[in-house]
Parts: sequence; structure tokens; C-alpha cells
Amino acid sequence: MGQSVSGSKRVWLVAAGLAVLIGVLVIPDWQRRPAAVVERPVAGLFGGVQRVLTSTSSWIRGVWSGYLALVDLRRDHQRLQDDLDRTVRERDALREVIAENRRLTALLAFQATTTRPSHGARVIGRDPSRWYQSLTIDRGSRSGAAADQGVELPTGVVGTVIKVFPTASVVLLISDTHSAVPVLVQRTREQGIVEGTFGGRLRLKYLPPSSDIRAGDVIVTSGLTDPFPRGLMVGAVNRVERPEGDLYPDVEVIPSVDLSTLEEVLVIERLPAP
Amino acid sequence: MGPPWGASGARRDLARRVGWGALLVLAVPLQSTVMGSVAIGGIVPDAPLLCLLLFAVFNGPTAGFAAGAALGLAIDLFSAGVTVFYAVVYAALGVGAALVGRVTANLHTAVLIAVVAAASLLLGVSQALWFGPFDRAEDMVRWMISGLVPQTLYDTTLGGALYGVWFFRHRPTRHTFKDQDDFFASGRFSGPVR
Repeated sequence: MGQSVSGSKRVWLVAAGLAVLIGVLVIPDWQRRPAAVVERPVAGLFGGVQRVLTSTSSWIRGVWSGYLALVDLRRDHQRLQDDLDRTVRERDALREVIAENRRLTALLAFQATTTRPSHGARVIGRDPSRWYQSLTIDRGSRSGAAADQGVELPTGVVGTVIKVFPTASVVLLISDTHSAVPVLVQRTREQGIVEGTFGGRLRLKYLPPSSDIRAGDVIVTSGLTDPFPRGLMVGAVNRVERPEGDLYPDVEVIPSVDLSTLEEVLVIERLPAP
Repeated sequence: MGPPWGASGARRDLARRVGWGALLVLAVPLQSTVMGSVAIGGIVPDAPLLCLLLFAVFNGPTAGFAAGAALGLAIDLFSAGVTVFYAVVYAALGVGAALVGRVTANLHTAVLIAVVAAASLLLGVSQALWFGPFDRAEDMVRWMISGLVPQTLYDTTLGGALYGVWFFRHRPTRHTFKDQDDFFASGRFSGPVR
């Protein structure tokens, strides 16, 4: 083995190495200078490798954890979306309950102020024909409903019960062309009849020819017939015309109740027969 | 003993009857509850009329009459009216639509749309004649502008759309003279040819 180092030389080499290491260890100056010559490239090389390894591993860790996080995120998103949907549904239901509560509270408060007893009813349908304007309520003969009972709201007159079934009734709205309600003009105390028209508005007829009625006048029930007590709001005068040749003024009245959005109503009890 | 066209044919026939029955039974309740939500400017499409016309065209005058009378009676019952006006008019419209279906060789969506337009217009006019008269000419004009014309247009549009979808799904067979010639030319007919 020509190339191999002989035993004595190896001993010398080890001894020299040890001496150098001990010298580096015990002589501070040696630690700074020659060590720095080796340390710098080694540290640079190692540092570079470390940086590459660190950044690679952190990238892999990031991708992995990000992927896992995405999986979790999707799950969380779905769960939150479900929560949100449920919350929105509950919120809408609560809003509906609050609105209904307000309406019913108003109805109860109004009931307490009226002289005639009345009963609440829920609107369950509209007229299936094209011609009539009526609605169906969930109060029938079993609940004490009877034909010719008045139907009202705190904001005004709604109509009259015209058909009664055991568990439901049909209410003819005041805006129907077949409806006629005796009224008076609140300011002038003149009496007339309010009828429905095709546009959903009302027409006040049979006022005295010399009537001083004006736009904005309030129309209330006169109480002359049974269904409605005196003084219930019917609407406000929108337009007054005096056509040439006509005896009576042509008076258009806007109903005080929005008849297209009714959900609950009050059915007024009839007066006992004398 | 079952029908001559077999069990699957009987099931199909039963399903068809149930489908038509459900359509007719639900038409009036739907009209009084749900249809208001698709109203445009206060005009509510006439679901019972659309159901009746479709039924009558494909089921003949007797069935059209019966269905029309039943639908009309239901409307009379739950509307503010006290007559049997709708029973009479719907029965007549059912018969009329069925006759149109009979005499029209090439039945397609355009025919049904024309039937809806005519029926809707006739129903509106007959209502005005029966429940009128109008107090003044102005009321009649207002009714025609704000009631009759929009109602007819809405019924026709909705009916046309629904019938179009129905035709697209069911594709009823339409026979032409060419079909007849092809049939005889195919040799499948063994009887005497006049």
C-alpha cells in the first residue's frame, strides 16, 4: 500500500492536529484569525444549505398546513353558511312575529276603545273570480260569524261579511262595485253613500247638490245601518268634480285601509235585535 | 279484466287522470291564495281558466263541460257572487275550447294561445254584461283599460308560456298527410286502399 501513510507519520499527523486544535482552544488570537478563514466559507455553505432546507421545509409545511387549513376552512365556511342561513331564517321569522305582534297589539288596543265588541280573524284567501273584490277569513258560523257583520281595522272600514261557512266567511270589500256604506263628511256632517269603483277607489254619492265638500275632507261611517257604528274612518276625499248637468258632485275617495295587504281584521258583532 | 292496452297503459292512464284531477281540484284554491303573489298592477292571472282550457282541449266537450261547471261552481261558492254565473260561463268555455281542439287538425301552442285570448276576453265581456251595467261610460272605459285588456294580455302570455312548456315536455304527435302517405307506402297496411 504505497499510498497509505505509515504508522509513525500517522501518529505525527494526529499529534499535529491535536496540537493545532489545542492551540486554537487555548490561544484566543488563533481562535479569531485562522478559524475565521475556515469558518466563513463553511458557515456560508452551511447557512445557504440551511436556508434552502428551512425555506423548503417551511414551504412544504405551509402548503400542507394551508391545504389542511383550506379543508377546514371549507368545512368552517359551510358550517358558518348553514348557521347564517338558519339565523337569517330565524331573524325573518322573528321579524314576522314582531310585525304580527304589533298588528295584533294595535287590534287589541283598538278593540278596547270601541263601543261594539269585535273579534279578530285571519285573512286566508282572496276572491277567486275576476270581478268581485272580496276576501275569505278564518272565522265562520262555528265561531259566531254571521252575514252582514261589519269588518274593520284600527285604520278604518274593510267591508261586510256576505257569506258564512262553518269555518270561514267571505267579506265583500268596500272597494267592490257592489258595496255601499252610508257615510258622512266629518267636517260638514253631510251624509252620502260610499260605493266601490273599478280602480280600487271609492265614490261618494248622493251628497246634497250644494255640498261644500273639498279634497282632503275625512269620510266616516254615519252609523245609520247596522254593520258599522258611527264614526269609523272610511277614507279621505281625493278629488271633487261637478260635471255640468249632474245633480250631485262627483267625489272620489281614497280608502284609509290598504285593502290589498290585509292579513288580520276585526269582525264587529251585530247589535242585538230590538 | 284490465284495459286492452295492458298494465303499463292502465298505470299511465291512471296517472294521467290523477294529474288532471289534481290540476282541476287545486286550481281554485291556488287562485284565491297563491296567484295574488304574481299579480301585476293588481291583475291576477286566471289559473282556473288556464287549467280548464288545457284540460278541455285534450279531453273533449263532455269532460270540458263537467270540469268547467265544477270549477265555476267552486268559484261561485268562494267568491262574493250569489249566482251560478261562473258555473255557466266556465262550462260554456270548456265546451268551446274542446270543440276548437276537435276541429283543429294541427294543434300546437299558437292555437292554445288563441283559445286563451278568446276565452279570457269572452269571460271578461260576459262578466261586464252580467254584473253591469256601468254607472257611467267613464267607468266602462276605465274597466276596459285597467281590467279587461291587461287581464287578457296577462292570461294569454302566461297561458302561452305554460302551454309552450307543456308542449315541449310532452310533444304530442301531430299527423300530417305526408305521415298518411308514408304509412300506406310502408306496406304495413294490408286492407283495401280506396
